[in-house]
Amino acid sequence: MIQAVELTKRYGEKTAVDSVSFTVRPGRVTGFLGPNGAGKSTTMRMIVGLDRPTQGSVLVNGRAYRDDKAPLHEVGALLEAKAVHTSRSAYNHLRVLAATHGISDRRVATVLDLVGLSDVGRKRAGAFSLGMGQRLGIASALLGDPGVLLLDEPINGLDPEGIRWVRDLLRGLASEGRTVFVSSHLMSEMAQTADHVIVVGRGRVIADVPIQQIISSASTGAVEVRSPRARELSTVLAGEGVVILQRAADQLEVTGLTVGQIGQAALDAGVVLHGLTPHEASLEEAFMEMTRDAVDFHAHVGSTTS
Amino acid sequence: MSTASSTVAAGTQPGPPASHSPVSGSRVTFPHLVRAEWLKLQTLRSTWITLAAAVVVLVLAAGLIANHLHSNLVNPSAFNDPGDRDVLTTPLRGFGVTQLIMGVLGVLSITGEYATGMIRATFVAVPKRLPVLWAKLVVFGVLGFSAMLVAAFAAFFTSQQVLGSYGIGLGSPQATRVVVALAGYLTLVGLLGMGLGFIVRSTSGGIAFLVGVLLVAPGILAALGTSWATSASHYLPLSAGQAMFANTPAIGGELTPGGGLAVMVLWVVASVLGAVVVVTRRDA
Repeated sequence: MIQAVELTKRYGEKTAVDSVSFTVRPGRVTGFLGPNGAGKSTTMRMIVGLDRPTQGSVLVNGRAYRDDKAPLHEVGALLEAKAVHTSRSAYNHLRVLAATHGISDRRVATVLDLVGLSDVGRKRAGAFSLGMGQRLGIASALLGDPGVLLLDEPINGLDPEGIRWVRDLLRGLASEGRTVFVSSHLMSEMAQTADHVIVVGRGRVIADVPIQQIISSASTGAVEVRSPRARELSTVLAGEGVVILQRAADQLEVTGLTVGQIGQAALDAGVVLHGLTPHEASLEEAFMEMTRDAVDFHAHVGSTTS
Repeated sequence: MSTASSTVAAGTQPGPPASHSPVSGSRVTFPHLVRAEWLKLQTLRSTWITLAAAVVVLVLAAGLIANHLHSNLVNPSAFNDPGDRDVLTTPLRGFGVTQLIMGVLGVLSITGEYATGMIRATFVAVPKRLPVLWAKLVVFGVLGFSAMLVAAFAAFFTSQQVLGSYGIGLGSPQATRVVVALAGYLTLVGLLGMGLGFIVRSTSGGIAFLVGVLLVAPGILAALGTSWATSASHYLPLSAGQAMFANTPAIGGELTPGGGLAVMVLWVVASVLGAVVVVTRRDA
């Protein structure tokens, strides 16, 4: 469990994190979502004591992280992919971190294997790709078998296999009852990984809601329809609550009907379809919409959500 | 990749709860941190290359100076300064490069962590931070002093061998004290470099700072030429070091060997105090 209370970080005139309050609960994956520069990384750095809050506080399992006797058992953190001395091997890097807590070399070998780096464990970490660096970072986060995991943009630089692997890993860790807090600037990624999201923009909490709520609000979006007889189809589809925009000679954007309803209507009217696609960007747009609005809102209602 | 996924599944599925994990029970202790810092130095090849270079350069310089001294001793009129014919300390005057190597190694032992981002991993594991500084000082102090003892004794024996009949043994008055003091000074320069590295965090800045204190400051004070500047110059690290392993009585405000050691230790303490302030106050 992570509890932030009116957490604030200012760098001179600039406020990176502005009186942010939230609770990250165990047993689920909590996404930390926001555009670049929204204050996600700074917030995560404050959780593990790398940055000192200007105001407010953040507790991990009821304690300040700095006061923990065995920090690696409390929190596993991946804050940047290459927080590694470039001349040291991956194996030795983990051995060094393990040694601070007296964690055995056997555990080091276990986590290296867990992240799939056993074969390259003896190679210089400086020669690693970004994706391998992320895996090494995840290995170091898992080293102390912690109850809280903090991962800043863990899928950056990973290939599709790797992304899927991280997703399964995070879900697995959460299902074991751990607290999993993972940041991303990609709404679509969060939709597939997180159970709950905390959305931030310009250092403020904009939303703190179950992911399902965002998906359902976004999935009322439009359907893109392609047909050589688009104009004719639009008269067929027209009805109450249906909005049709003609995007091109053969392309419509339909709101208010499902893909199934449009397909059935086209068949009934004998109009051939060349394409029928739910608007894929809608989730991302919902997120954009949310962050855009919030910037204007927060002076009035931001304090109720934060 | 499917193999990696299956291992992950095996490792993360039902599994034991976190509290019964095989790694619980271990925690941060000072001996653990000393071991971690030792591993950090030990697992970088550059540590061993640098230390070897520091040893070899000191021994080589001692041999060359001794060879030159030997030919001059045959013709005593070649000496302007009687101190130059001291067979114990003259061959050890080639410590200049070795002190720089040790200082730079001290700087790098911390700025290397800042440059690569490793420091964040270190401070996440040890959020109290200061114990890391103490452990680094202990490990560098012990490793550095061991290496410098080897270097100083090797330099002594090499030079005395080269001096042939003019050479002295370790049993000679002051010989052991001078050799150990040289090793101590070179180690303290390394610790000074580490303190400066903690303060400025960047390798280039740390080395510039070190060279400024060690080599540039004496030149500036000498150029000023005032009596104030001359007395102040005795308290610079280089002069303090030379006082530590001098074999002639201190004259004209020069420090005694004990005084030189005290001043050198104060330099290290001052840099470490600066390091403590920076490490505890600044964001990592």
